[in-house]
Amino acid sequence: MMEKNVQIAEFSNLVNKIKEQLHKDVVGQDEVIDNIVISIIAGGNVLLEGVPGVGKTRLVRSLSKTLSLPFSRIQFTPDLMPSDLIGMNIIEKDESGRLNTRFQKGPIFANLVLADEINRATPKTQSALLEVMQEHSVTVSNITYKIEEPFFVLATENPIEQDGTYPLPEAQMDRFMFKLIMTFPSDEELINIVNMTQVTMEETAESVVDGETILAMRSLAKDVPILPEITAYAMKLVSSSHPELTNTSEVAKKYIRYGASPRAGQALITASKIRALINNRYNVSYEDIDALAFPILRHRIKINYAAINEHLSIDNVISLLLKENKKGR
Amino acid sequence: MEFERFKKRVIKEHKIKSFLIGFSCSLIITALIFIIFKRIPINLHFIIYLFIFIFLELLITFVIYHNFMPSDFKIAKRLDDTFLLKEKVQTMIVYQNNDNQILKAQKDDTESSLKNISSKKLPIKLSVTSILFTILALIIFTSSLIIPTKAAITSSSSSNNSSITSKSDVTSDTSENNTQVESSELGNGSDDNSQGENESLQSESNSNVNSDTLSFNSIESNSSNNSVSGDGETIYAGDDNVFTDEGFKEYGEVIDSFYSNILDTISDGNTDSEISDIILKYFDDLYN
Repeated sequence: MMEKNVQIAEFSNLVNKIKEQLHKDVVGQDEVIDNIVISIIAGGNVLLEGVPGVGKTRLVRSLSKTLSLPFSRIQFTPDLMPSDLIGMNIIEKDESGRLNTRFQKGPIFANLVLADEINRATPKTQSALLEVMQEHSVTVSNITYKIEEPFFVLATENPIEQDGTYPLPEAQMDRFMFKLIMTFPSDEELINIVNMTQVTMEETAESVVDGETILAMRSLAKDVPILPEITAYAMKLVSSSHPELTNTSEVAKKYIRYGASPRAGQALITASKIRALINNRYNVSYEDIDALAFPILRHRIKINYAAINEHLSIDNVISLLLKENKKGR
Repeated sequence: MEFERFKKRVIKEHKIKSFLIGFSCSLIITALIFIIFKRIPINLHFIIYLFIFIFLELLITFVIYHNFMPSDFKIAKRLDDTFLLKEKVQTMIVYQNNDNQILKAQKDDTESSLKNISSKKLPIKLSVTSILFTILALIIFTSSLIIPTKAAITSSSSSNNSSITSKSDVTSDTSENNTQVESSELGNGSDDNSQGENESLQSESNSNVNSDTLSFNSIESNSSNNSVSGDGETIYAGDDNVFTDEGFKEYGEVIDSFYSNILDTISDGNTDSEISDIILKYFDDLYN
């Protein structure tokens, strides 16, 4: 493990190196890449949403090369079973000819898992990911198998095609630290994408950090100081998204059906510490909380018909929430 | 420590604010004391008011300075907000007693950020409220200087009441009456025949004499309340005042002198306006 005092100086350099490698394969998408790096260091899972062809899978594959970690890619389909993910007990003969059961690990036993088109699997299969995403362990036949750290699940979903898909349940959604939207590239970016893929379709990213470095960076980020006022502000932001609470915001009363869970608060604080370090700061700022509110809250808040009627997206509602909460700083 | 540079500046600002508030409060209190004493009335020397003002100023400034001293955290918050330091200074202050590698780095980073900023760039802010308060205090104090005394108010009201009895009226009245009779009546009370005339004359002249004293006016307007004391001395009672014969004699002497002067001016062959001027001059001399 690296020395902490070395890491303080090198933290942002390492992050820049990761981003540099990712940009070799992915054009644009700076915010998405920044947030993916944050979630990896924080140990969170990411749900990537975007129309087909914007580079979701390519980004994750490039990331696996950059991190030089064992990588699994699972294509989610309607007939995918939980055992296809987590593994199963198989019967085999030993040397003496006796029959024994042995746990055959599934593709989930990797450091970096790409759950491609996660909403195509049935809720039963999706639910098989609940334990592993939260606790980083798998329990089969009362035996719990720990997954090697660092562990991340990067899932992708397509917002357009709804036929034959199963929307992720709330509990599943809540386990993703970030929901990132991959937008359609600009004309200039499109030209760069085409030029890049004319040379080779393979990812060209090189390994710059290993698992241990990621864990050391995570450990370091935990020590980043945060003002009690900023923590209170972040928690107020989460609680003010609940319309059922008495001391809630006007925005929540008007536009929100369900508010964010306490995991949102945990994610805000953890991610904000890493964001501060990435930006060469050694303390958390209100700016970090505000910037991270969108990827952390957008899949945890459900807007109501009033918001839909007024053509407000979830990000619009989060903006209004932030605006209302800023008054109380 | 770079933070101390800015702290000194904020404390300097706090001193100015405390002084301003102390100045305003003490000015208002002194003005109130001044007004109250004017109305009682108690005449205090200017130096005493000045002493009260300085004492209050020092006391209030001291109390405000010590009790409302801005905390380090508040100063830090102001620095962060002013120079957009993203909560660096606040974090440094909150965690100044903790120690680990990252906190040390945070402190160094904050110090280097502050080092590049001149403390003079931190503006000395005097809140609009305190400035308005000072202006208000000055207005109250100035007003207190021009608020008239109780006697002055009475004087103006009585002069309004007796405005009909102008100086020329007095002159014409006195010319028709015997001064000797009036003076003996007022001074000794011996000549009963001319008492009626004397009273009317007294009434005329009182309207001018009254311009100085409340008591005389009261006596005149409340003559029905007069009574005789046990030893035979007449008590002249007004609404607020009681006078004895002794006091009344003094007024008689004043009026005697007044009429004799008027007669002199008439006998000298002066015109009405000249007589009027002489009478005015006489009153000025009398009251000054």
